[in-house]
Order: sequence, then C-alpha cells, then structure tokens
Amino acid sequence: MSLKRKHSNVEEESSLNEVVHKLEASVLSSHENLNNIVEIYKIASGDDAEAAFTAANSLGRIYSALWTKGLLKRAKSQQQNKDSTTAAAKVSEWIRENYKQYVDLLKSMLGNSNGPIQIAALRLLLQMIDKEGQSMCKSAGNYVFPNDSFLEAIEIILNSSDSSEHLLRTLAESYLNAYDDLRLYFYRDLVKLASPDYDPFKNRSKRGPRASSVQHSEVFVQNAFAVMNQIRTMPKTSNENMSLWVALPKNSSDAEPSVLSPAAHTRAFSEAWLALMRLQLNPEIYKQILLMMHKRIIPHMSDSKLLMDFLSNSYETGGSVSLLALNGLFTLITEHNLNYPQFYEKLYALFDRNLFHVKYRARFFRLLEVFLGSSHLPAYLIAAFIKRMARLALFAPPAGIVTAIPMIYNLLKSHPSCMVLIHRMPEYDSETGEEKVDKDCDPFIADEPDLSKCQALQSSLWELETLQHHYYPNIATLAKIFNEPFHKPQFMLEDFLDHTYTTFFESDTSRKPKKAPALATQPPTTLIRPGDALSDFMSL
Amino acid sequence: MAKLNAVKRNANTGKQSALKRLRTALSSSGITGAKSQVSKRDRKRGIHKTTQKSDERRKKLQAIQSALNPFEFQTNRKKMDILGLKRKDDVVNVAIARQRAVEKRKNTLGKERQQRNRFGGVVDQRIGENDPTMDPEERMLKRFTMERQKRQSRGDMFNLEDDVEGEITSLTHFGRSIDEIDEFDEPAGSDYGEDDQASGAIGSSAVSATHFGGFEPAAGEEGRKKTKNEVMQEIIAKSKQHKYERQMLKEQDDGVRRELDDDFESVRALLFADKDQDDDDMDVDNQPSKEKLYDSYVRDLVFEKRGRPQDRLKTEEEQAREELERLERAERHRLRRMEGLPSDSESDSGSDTEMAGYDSKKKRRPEADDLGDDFEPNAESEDEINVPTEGVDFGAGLEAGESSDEEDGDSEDEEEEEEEDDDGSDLRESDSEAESNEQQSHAAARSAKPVSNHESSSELPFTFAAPTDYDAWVELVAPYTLEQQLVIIKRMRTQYHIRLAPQNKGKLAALAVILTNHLAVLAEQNPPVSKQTIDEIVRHIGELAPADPEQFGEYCRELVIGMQRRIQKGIRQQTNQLRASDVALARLFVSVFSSSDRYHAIITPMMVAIAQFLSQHTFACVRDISIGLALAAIVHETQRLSRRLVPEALNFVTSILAATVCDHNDSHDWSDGCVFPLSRRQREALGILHINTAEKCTDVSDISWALLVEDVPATADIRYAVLRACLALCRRYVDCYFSLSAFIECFQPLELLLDKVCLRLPRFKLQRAPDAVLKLLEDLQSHLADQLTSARESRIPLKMQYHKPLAIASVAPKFESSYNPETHYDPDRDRSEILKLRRQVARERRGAVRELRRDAQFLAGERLKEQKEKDKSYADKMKKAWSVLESDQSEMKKLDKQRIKDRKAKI
Repeated sequence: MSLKRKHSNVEEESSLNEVVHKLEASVLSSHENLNNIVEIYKIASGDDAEAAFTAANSLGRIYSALWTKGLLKRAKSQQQNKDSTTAAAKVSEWIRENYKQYVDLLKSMLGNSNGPIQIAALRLLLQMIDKEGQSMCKSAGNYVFPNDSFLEAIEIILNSSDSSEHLLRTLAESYLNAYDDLRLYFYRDLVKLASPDYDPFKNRSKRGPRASSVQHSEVFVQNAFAVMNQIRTMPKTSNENMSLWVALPKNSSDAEPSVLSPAAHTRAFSEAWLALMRLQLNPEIYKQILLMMHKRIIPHMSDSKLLMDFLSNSYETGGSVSLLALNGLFTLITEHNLNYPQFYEKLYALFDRNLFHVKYRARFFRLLEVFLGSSHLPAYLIAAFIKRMARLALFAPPAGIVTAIPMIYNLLKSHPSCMVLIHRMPEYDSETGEEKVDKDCDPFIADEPDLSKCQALQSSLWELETLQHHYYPNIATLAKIFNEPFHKPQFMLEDFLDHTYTTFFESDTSRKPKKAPALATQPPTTLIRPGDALSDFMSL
Repeated sequence: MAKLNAVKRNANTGKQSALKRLRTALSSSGITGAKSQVSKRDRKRGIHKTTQKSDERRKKLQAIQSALNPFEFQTNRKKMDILGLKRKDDVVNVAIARQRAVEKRKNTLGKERQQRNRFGGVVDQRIGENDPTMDPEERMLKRFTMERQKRQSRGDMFNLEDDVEGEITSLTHFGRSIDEIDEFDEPAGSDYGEDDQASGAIGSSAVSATHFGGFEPAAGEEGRKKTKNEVMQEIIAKSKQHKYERQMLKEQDDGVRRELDDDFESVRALLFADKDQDDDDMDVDNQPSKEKLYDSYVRDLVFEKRGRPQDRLKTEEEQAREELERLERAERHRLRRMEGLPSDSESDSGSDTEMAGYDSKKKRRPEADDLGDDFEPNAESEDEINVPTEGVDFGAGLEAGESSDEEDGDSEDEEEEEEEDDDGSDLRESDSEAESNEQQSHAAARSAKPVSNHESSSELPFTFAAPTDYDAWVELVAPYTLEQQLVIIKRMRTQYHIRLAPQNKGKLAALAVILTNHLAVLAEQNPPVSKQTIDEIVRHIGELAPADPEQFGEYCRELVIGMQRRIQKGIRQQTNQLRASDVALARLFVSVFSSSDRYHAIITPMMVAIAQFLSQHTFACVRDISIGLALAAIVHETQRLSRRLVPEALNFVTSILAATVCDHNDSHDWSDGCVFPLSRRQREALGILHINTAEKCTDVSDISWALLVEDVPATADIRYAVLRACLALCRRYVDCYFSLSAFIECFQPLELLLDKVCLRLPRFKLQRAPDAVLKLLEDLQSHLADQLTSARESRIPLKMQYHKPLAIASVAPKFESSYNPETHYDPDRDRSEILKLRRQVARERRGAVRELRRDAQFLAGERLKEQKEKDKSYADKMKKAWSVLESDQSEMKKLDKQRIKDRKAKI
C-alpha cells in the first residue's frame, strides 16, 4: 500500500515538475503568458519541496531572461510615466512586483534550515544580482554593483543561526574566493553590518521588527568569522584579469572603477577585520584570530599599526591569549618597527604556572628563543627568565621539561655571565680571607614582576639539580648536561618541542626489550606492602 | 778472570814487548820469582812441589799463554760507550768459543753425518752402558737397585714362594722359632725380684747393674761383648713381657664384650626400634636358638641401609652468611640499575645465578636440621585452609612437591591428609562460604565468570591439566571456591615443578600470566575479595614470575600499554576508563619488578601513563579520586628507594588537598597555594570535594577498595577520608623528597596550602573536623616547617661546573731520574713491544744464518778430512802394493842376477 502511495506521490511530483516546465516554456516563448509566473510562484511557495525547488529554479531562469530583455529595468521613462497607465508600464510594474515577491521568497529560503535549499537560494540570489548588476551597468554606463540586494543577502546569511557550515563554505569558496567584486563588497557590507550604528530597518521598512538590533549576536560573529576565515585570496596587484561576478561593461566611461584597485581591496579587508575584532568575540574565535594573525591578517593589512591596539590588549589579557598575541606582536615588532614598551616585563609575566601546560607551548618557545636570542640582553634579565623557567619546570609535565632544559642550556651558553646560576664559587671575606657563609643563599623573589629586582642572578638553579632526579630517565639524563663542560653546540630547540606523554610512552614501548625485565630482589608476599604509602589510607 | 783483566789492562796501558809482558805475567802469577820456590818448611813437611803444584802450574801457564796470544781474543767495539752497562761479549775468547762450537758440531752434526745412510742396528739399552761417566761398579749397582725396585712394585707381596714375610713376623734363632725356645730361664731383669723375696738383700749383679754408677758400662767392660747367654735371656724376657701384655689386653676386651652382651637387649631396642614387637615374640618362642637370633641380628646390621655420605651440613653461621651475601649481591645489582648502569657488568649471569640461588635456597630438599624451622609436613595442610600466617609458610606447597617427587608413597599420604583437612575446612568455613559465594556470583556477573557457586565441590582432584590461557583456567576452576582455587594453584605448582621437567618452565610462566589476569578480575569484585586471597595470589605470582621473566614481562608490558590506551581515551572523552584492576596490577608490578631501576621496561612506561592520568584526567567522581589517590601512593612506592621526583603526583595530591577547602569557582583562591595549574573543567569537577562547613563528619575511615570499584556520592565522611589520605600522602612525599636540593621550591607552596586548610577546616563544636584529621594536619604542618627550615639552612649554592682542570700538554723532554738503558721508555707500550720483537727476530735470524754457515763449513771440513783419509789409505795401499811388487821385482832381479852370476859362475 505504502508502495502504491509512494508511487502516486512520485507521479504527482513528476507531474508538478512537468507542469512547471510547461509553464516556464510558455512564459519564455511569449509575453502573452506572463501570467503563468504567478502559477509557478504559487508552486514555488507551496508545500511540495521538490516542486518548489524546481519552480524556484525555473523562476530564476524566467527572471534572468526578463532582466536581459530589460523588462525589469526601472527606467527613467518608467519614473516619468508613473502616472501614465500604459499597458507596458503596467506589465512592467506587475513583473517587478512579482520579482520582489520572488526575491523575498529566495531570502526566506536562505533562512531555511535545510542546507541544500540554502545553497540553491544563494545561487539564485547571486544570479539575480548578476543580472540586476548587468542591467544597471548598461543603464549607468559604468560599473555598478547592486549592493543593496547583496547586503540583504549577506545580512540574512550572517545573522541566521540556521546558516549551515556548508552554506558558509560555499559562499566563501565558490563565490568570495573566486570573484573579487563579491569579496570586496562582502568586506564592505561586513563593516556596515558590524558597525554599532547600523540600523537594520533603514532600508527595509517593509520587514517586520527583527530580534537582534545593534547588539551583535554571537551567531553573527561566528558566521562572519567562519566566512572570513575561509577567504584566502587577495588581489595583490592591479591587473585586468580580475574575475568579477558582475561583468565590467565594455564601454565603461570610468577608467578605473574601485573594484579594480588593489588598494581598495586591502582597505576593505583591513576594515572588515578591524570591524570583526571590535565585536564581542568569544574566547575560541579570539584565539583563532590570534592564531592566524601573523600569517594571514598582518601581511594584507593596509596599515598593520591598526592592529596594535588589538594585539596589545590581547597581550595584556594574560594566559594563553597573551601567548598567542605574542606571535602577532612579534611580527609587528620585527617587520613593522613597533616599539613595545616594557616588552620583556610583559614577557616575564607570561611565565606563569600555566605556561608548561598549555597547548601553545611549542609556539611560545619558538618565539621565546628569538626574543631571548640576542646576546646584548643584560644578564640579570636572562637570569630572571632562566630562574623562572626552571622554577616552573619543576612542576611541569615531562614534555615541558624537555623543552625547558635545552632552552636554559642555550641561554647559559650564549650568556656566560649567567653561569653563576649553576656554578657559584663561595665568596671570600676580603679582610679575613675566610669563606663567607650566607645563611639564606636564595635571594630570588619569585613574585617580583620587575626583572631587575627579582635578584635571580644571586640565586642558584637547584631546580635543575633536582630535575636530574626526575622519574623519567631521559629527562634525568638530559638534565645532567649542566654538570658537563659547556662544549656542546647549542641545542636545536625544534627537536624538543613536539613531545607529549603519548610520544614518550610510545618511544618507550615501541622497542622490544633486549633482556628480561629485572625482578624485585624480594618477591612480594602481599599486594599492599605493610607500611607503604597505600596502606596509610586504604584497606583491602 | 783477574788474570784476564790484568792482561787487558796491560794491553791497554801501553805497548810493551811481548817478552816483558810474559815476564810480568809469570811473576805476578807466582810461577817465577821467590814464591815459586818451595820453602824449606814445605819440603820438610813432605809436600812436594812436583805432586801438588804441577797441575796448578800447568793451568796457570796455559792461561798466560792463551792470554798473551792477542789473536785469541776478540774485543767487540762499542758504538756508544754507556756508563754502567756491562756486556758479556765485551771480550770474547774466540779460540775457545770456536773449539766449543766445533766440539758441539762433532757431537751432533758429525754424528748425524756418520749415521746417514744407515738403517736398523742394535741399540744397547742396558742401564748406564752409554753413559761414559759411570764406572762399571756404579753401573752394576744401579742395575741392581732398578731390579729390586721393579720387583717391589709389581705385586711382590703376593709371591708366596719368597720367604720374606717370615722374617718380619716371627723371630728365629739359629733357624728355630723363638717360640720354641720359650721355656728358658727368667728374664734377666726379674731375677732380683726373687732375691728380694728370699733374703731381702739385693743381688750383687743387680746392684752393679742398676745402682750408683750403674747403667753405665763398667770401665773394664767397655770393649766386652755380651755373652750369648745374656743376649738370649734378654730376648726371652722381652717376649714374655709381650705375651703377658697381650693376655691382659685380651682379658680386658673379653670383659667389655661381656658387658656389651649384657646390655645388648637394651641397645638392640634402640637399633631395631620398629621391629620391637617381632623380637619380643621371637624371644618368647625361640629361647634356645639365641645364637641364631644373634646371627640374624648381625645379618640385619650388615645389610642395614647405611647412611650415605653427604656434603657437610652447613653451620648456621655459614647459612646466614650465604643468605647475607645473596642479599648484598642483589642489593648491589639493584643499586646499579637504579643508577642506570647495567646490573650485569659484574657478571652477566649474576642475576641468573642469584635467582637460581634463590630458588635452590627456597626449594631445597628438606634436611635433617630443618626440622625446627620451616619444614613442617603437617603445617602445610593447615595453611591450605586459608590461614596463611605472616608468610612463614613460605613455599610450603613447594616442599610438598619436593617430597612427593622423592617418594610417591609419602606424598600420597600427605595428599590424603590434605584432603581430610579440606573437608574440615569446608565445615569450619561454612559461614564465610556463603559470603564468598555471593562474591563469586557477583564476579561471574561482572567479569569473565572466574568462579561459580558450586558448593558441593569439596573434593579436589590432585592433578590438573596445565591451563594455557585464562579461558582454560576459568573453565578449570569454575566449579571451585576461591579457597579451593588457592589449593589448586599450589597443587599445580607442585605438579609442574620446574625441576621435574624442562617444559614445566613454560607452564609455570603461563600460570603466572593467568594468575595476573585472575588478580585483575578478583580486584574488580564488589564486595572485595578477602585480603588473604589476594595476598596469596600475589605471592604465587611473585614466586612464579622468575620462572620465565621474559614472557611474564612481555605480558605485563601489554597490560601497561592497554592501561595507557584507556587513560588516553578517558582523557579524550572525559570519562574514567581506569578500573580497580588497573590499580591492583600497577601495585603488583611495582612490587614484582625492580621498581627502583632508572629505566625499567615495564615500570617506566607505567609511570608515564600514570603521570599522564594524574595530570590530565578530569577527576569527576569519588571513584576517580580514589583511584588517583591510590595511584599517587603507588607512585610513591616506586620512588621509595630511588627518590626521584614525580611532579605529577605532587601536583595531584596538592590539587586534591586544595579542593577540600578552596572555592572551585574562584581561580585566585586556587592559585594561591596550589602550584599546579588545573583547567577550569578539572577544577570545577573537583568541587565535589569541597568540605561544607555545615556538614558533620561522623567517622573518618580508610578509603576502602570498594570505592575503587563502584562510585558513591560524595559525603562528608568521604571528603574527610580523602583529606586524610592526602595528608598522609603529603607526609610520605615530604619524607621521600627531603634530600632533593629543590625541596624548598617543591614544598613551600604546600606549606601555604596547609595553613589555608588549617584555617578553613570547621572547628565549631558540632561540625568540628575529626580529631584524627586535625592531628594529622598539625603534625604534618610542624614536620614540614621543620624540614623546610633545615633544608634552608643546609642548602648551598650549586657548583655544577666544578671540573678537574685539564693539564696543558708539555713539550719539555721527559727526564728519567733513574735511567736504565736496558728498558724502553717508549710511552706507547705496544710499539715498544713490537720493536722488541722485531729486534729479537733480527738477532735470531742473524744467529741462524751464522749457525748454518758454520754448519756448512764444518761439513765441508769433515768431507775434506774423509777425502784426505781416503786418499791417504789409497796411497798407503798403493805404496804397499808397490813395495811388494818392487821387492818381488828386486828379488826376481836378484835371483836373475844370481842366476846369471851362477850361470856365469857355472860357465
């Protein structure tokens, strides 16, 4: 039975599709049958998804044809003959009315929760924009982009919580990455949308009041970031073969429309990112922006200094955000001559107890190697960093210790004046010649944020000596290098950065032991040895 | 030599004429001049110059003659004159040396030459025949002694025909045996006894023999020989005395024997204790045949199984020392491994022998002197009823095994006993049985049904097929209770004892693996299995692991790898994948393996895995936290001896401690004392531990094993239990790490945290924290404060770069204070050795070439000599022939002349 019903359904659908096709053919064949558009629109806005889809497509084709024929154009003559009730004007009015309805339908489809429908709607909308743009270009005589329609589409996409990942990706990859004008206007629209004084009701009096107004929702930020994140192209030089969605009119009077100038693109890009950064970012997106900052944002910025505030604020936030900001800051400092006051103090402040436990440890140490690499840094500064690092390494996981030890070794090697940290000869009294016995031989102040006052240079690295007794044998061996003469070349820090518990474990278990494991001298007689730590608080 | 030197000196001093030199030489040696004349006194004494001095003189003259001939001495010129170096070839007497060489060649090469082309012949092998140094008499003597020796050595004692024996045993006199001349007069010494009796006066002969001046040969008697009669008397006296003594001895022996006979009954009772009954019967029945009886006793004694000789039993002291040595060696190895050095560098098989020694000690056959301490044949049946006390029944099952493979009958007896005891145990344990059944059913539900609840299976078979894997084991032991399973394990170990068959090693190793698996299953039971059972199994594993450490180690490694996978998965999914069994296994590995090693194929990865768990896992429930605490304690156990820093464990314990009093929503509150950073998620999860001041704790107890198995909601009791566990662990770690140089850095945060805990624990009347916890806390606080103070006082700045200064290479020549030119001072030993050898080879080569050349010369000389002889003999022969012919001719001519003359005359 159900089969039968299904069969009948299929028949019905196919018949509806056929009806749509017939209607479309009739509309395209002659202007007489323009009324069929209403029929198709009914089907398109109907419940039958399949047929609606077909209908929307066919409507798209019909309106494209109508755009090319110029029937949809809002001509000057039209304005003039507003009150004249010529037949042509009436038809035109009617068609435009229907077209608006159709565009609204597409927009509502864009807000649909169904992914494929969203994508189809996007495609159709952009198609319409293309046609509209072409016709506008034709009438205006130079390059015009129908930004109003585009802005509305973008707004819907970015504000809709239903916008699927797929839709965003399609938008970014098939359209924004491919067509320079779309990207440029996307950036500009984003700036408009993100600006706090943007009034969504300005252009659309017809729309009902919207839920979110000035306060940008998290959805907007997320979507905007998702799209921005996926835009990877950027015009570098001004050249003619920019690919444009709305084709450049041939007899363009304007020699150089702004779409073709890379400067405009760069400016739009910068403004868009800055606008995004001004929004309320959640930590996840914040970190991601920082992560891509030095590679993908800074190089394309019109003026990198504009990022300074953002980066400085991030750097001062503390925690992992600071670590990430460091990278962008580093690029600014090294490549854009940024002068950051009290940079090393801030860097020192980053050495908190989380340092060895965060994910971005490797990234941080790479940069740290550069920052501390200069041999012109004062010894007290290096000593403070070393001491702080050693102190933190005492409680770090093996992967962190394995990074810290070569780092300290390299620092000691390039700053021999810090060797007193691991080798301090006793001071002799100048008068009596006896050894001075200092009661408190560790004057280091761990909480002192000022590098010059923490007295690290007067301390010793007992932490390193203790790490020579680390339970993991490789670390213990590595820590023994401080006992040997400093003849080794500097360590390649890169070799030590990417360890984790798992890599340690696997390196230990991957090779087969050569000989039988050593057994205890005295075989156990009980599971919990009477007197061991477990017996203190646990009973079988 | 002195002369030689003198000659040399002369030769060196100047060029004198040969005559002058001869003269001085003659006079200095005393041949000419005044001394050479024989003094008158000498002549008077009859010492003649010719007889004594002529030899000496001749020798002296010869020496002078040879010394004066400059061509006989070869002086070897030295290339370098070295002070203090004496060479024996400075001056060589060439003539003598050459002559010696020629002699030698004659004896060797010449002989050979003579012997060439000769085969066979008779070799005279008579003793001394070829030795020209022996006189004929000496030869005879030697031959005689040799003959005697030969005869002596070759079973001559059995030669009945020789009467040599007789001489030794009995004395003869004039061919008669002395026994025959027994009844002669009294011995000479006893005659004065008679005198005494008769007259009271001593006989004059006796007086003269013994009294003053007696015992000394009389002046006149010095040369006098004893008369024949006297000699005879002496001899007779002696023999009589001997006879008398013999008699006395015999009587004594008889007396003793008689006594022995009298006591025999009682002694016999000792000797034949078991046959007492029979003997009594026999005594009654066959009274008359006492001798027969005795014979039978004798036979019994003769054929009685004698004690076989045995190695000397070790004294207690020796045993103790051996044990001590074994322990010391084991400890030495362990320390070396702890340092990360290979333990076997001393002796590769060290650990093996040690293990073997250990085994042999443990599984040694019971000996007589063991009876008191650990060989208790009856005791073992007791400890099989699940009453293992103190672990003194060490290897009881093994000993049963030993006795069983020695004597089958005995072991059967024992096993019967065991069976009886098992029955008894069933009765005795009827109440605990029910409990264990519950556990078992639970176990069956939870895990791979290790045990089922058959109650009727009181009889146990005595032998079992060795299970190869855990499933086979489960199948095998399913019908039995846990206690019976322990018995089964014991019997299996007896049955497949490693000494019985070589393939048993594999079976025992498999058993160790199975038991490890079994332990994991038992650890998961709720309510937990009794401590005794677990301990018993652990003991078995510990004793079985040495059977095949490689296989066992491999299995344990796989378990550790599985554990790590689950830890990782748990961290990723934020669920706990570790179970109580993992805790139990971790604890087992720590005690079975040498966990203090610097690197250990099983313990080190396990530590990494546990550290990852402790630092990255989100502890969200009481069970997680209990497991974490247990693992932290296990980590402490691994570092108990080696005292290596495990930051993760410290961090974990501090975090848990902080969780009890700190507000998990306030990150600053947390970061105050707690060094270890926790992610927000971890921190919030630990909120369940926060001790609410409104709650009242009823009782602080241990964290039970059941908490590891099943989660329970957190209550005040549990929070305090966790707090107490944390404090205990902190105390342990403080003690463990006191020697670290960064002790202050490690534990100062803890001090702050403890202060905070102390401040925040409720102390109101009603909600007061338990006194036990408070006391522990205060103790720990003061202890830590003390330790920190002393650590601060004792800490000194590092001197890690203190290296022995390297000497600058010197270019000054090396000066030897006592230079010996004969030794080489090449610092490279090998090179000097090679040089030495090369010189030796060259020298030998030169010598050999020279010898060959001389040999050739000698041979040529010999050949020439022979040729000359041959020629000479030929010439002689020819001469003779010629002379004969000539004489004949002359005769003939004479005759002819005569004839002619005659004819002429005739004519």
